[in-house]
Amino acid sequence: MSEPVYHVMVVEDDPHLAAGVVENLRAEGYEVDTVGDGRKAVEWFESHSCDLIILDVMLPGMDGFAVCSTLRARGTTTPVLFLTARGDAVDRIRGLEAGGDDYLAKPFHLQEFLLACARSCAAGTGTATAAAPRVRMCSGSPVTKWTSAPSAAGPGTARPRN
Amino acid sequence: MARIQKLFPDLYVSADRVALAPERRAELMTQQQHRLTQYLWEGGFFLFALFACIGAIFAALRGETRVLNEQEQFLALVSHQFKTPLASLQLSLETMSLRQLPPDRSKALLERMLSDLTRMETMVGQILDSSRLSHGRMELKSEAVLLDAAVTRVVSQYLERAQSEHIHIESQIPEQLQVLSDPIAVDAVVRNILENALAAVAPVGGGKVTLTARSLGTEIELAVRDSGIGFRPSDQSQLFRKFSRLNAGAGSSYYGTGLGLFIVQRLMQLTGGRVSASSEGLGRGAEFLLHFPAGHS
Repeated sequence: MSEPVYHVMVVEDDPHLAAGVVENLRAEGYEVDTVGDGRKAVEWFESHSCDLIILDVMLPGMDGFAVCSTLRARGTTTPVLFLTARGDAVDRIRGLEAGGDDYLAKPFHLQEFLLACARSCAAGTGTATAAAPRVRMCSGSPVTKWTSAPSAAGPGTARPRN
Repeated sequence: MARIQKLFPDLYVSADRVALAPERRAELMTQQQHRLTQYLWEGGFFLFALFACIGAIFAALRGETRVLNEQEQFLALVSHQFKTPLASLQLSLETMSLRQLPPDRSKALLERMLSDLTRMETMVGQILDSSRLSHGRMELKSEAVLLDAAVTRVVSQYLERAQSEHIHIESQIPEQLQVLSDPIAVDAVVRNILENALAAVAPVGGGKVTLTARSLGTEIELAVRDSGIGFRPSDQSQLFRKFSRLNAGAGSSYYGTGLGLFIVQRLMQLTGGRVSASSEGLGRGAEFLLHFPAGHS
């Protein structure tokens, strides 16, 4: 049985951080799309769906909390992982109230982030047992090879590793 | 009877009663009235002084609270601003340490990290500048500065970044134009106004920034136009306020500390110039006019 290819939407306005997140997710075998604007993200979801949403809070157009509650109000059940510089309790609570599933404060650790993504994807699709050992970098040795230049690869070109 | 009357000249003594002499009575009444009036004035004055003091204390306390709030807001904002480039740096470093990257990817990541560092350095510079400007600790010279040379120097440092963000910077300034200002202030003003313009154009996917200048007799006008996100005319008053970052709906959270335009305005004021901004609305670009005193007529 091959692993499922999870589709992740990254909503982050900082180009560097977005690029870093996207590259790492693609290297892990996720299919990734990205937008840098809250309103555009909401528009995107009118015609698309995915397995996980990575959502920044401070976004132009519409903040992450508003994006999340808008999507929830529409009935979207896709897991939402908030990724934000505002890591205090008040904001965490706001994020959870808006319908977020997880919350990582910037700066975050890559492994922690990837594990959170793997867990959220697995939980969202109900294949928790099958997808649990998805992230294999935890041994500390670099096992994941960078196969192609991720920036050149469009969404949907990433392949699941065997 | 006469003897009694003589003993108490203030009394009016008659066979059946003793009373205060009418003139003495009137005098005492007047005295009493005066004293009453005096007490009223003194009391009134003291009450007034008291309330004035209480008012002054309240005003001072409120001022202090405002300063504290501003400082708190400043700290929150600054730490928030630093977290994004920090997160990017950490992500790049962890990516490099955890993955085997081909050399070209490593190089790209290194460049990204260097750019994040430059970003933080710019932010530190802005924070220091604005704190110096807020406390008036900045000695500014007043000398003739060649505007074109100053602008060209700053623009050349931004060409690379502008190119990567698909922004075309065009500068058309008569070579001989001189402004009377501080060379460092001119550099900082142009730098911050250019940063602002680039940050306004980047979210719309690229565009144009134009710098032109002309002489208006005793003043030199530098106009900086951009084809960026613009701002609502109603937000104009907010623009130059410290920490004001107009999240105008089309994107402006990139790079900004909310200090750039504050620095521009303070520096222009301190060097005898002024700055104004206008925009036809969201998504329709903006124009910043800087008026410097002319270097020579």
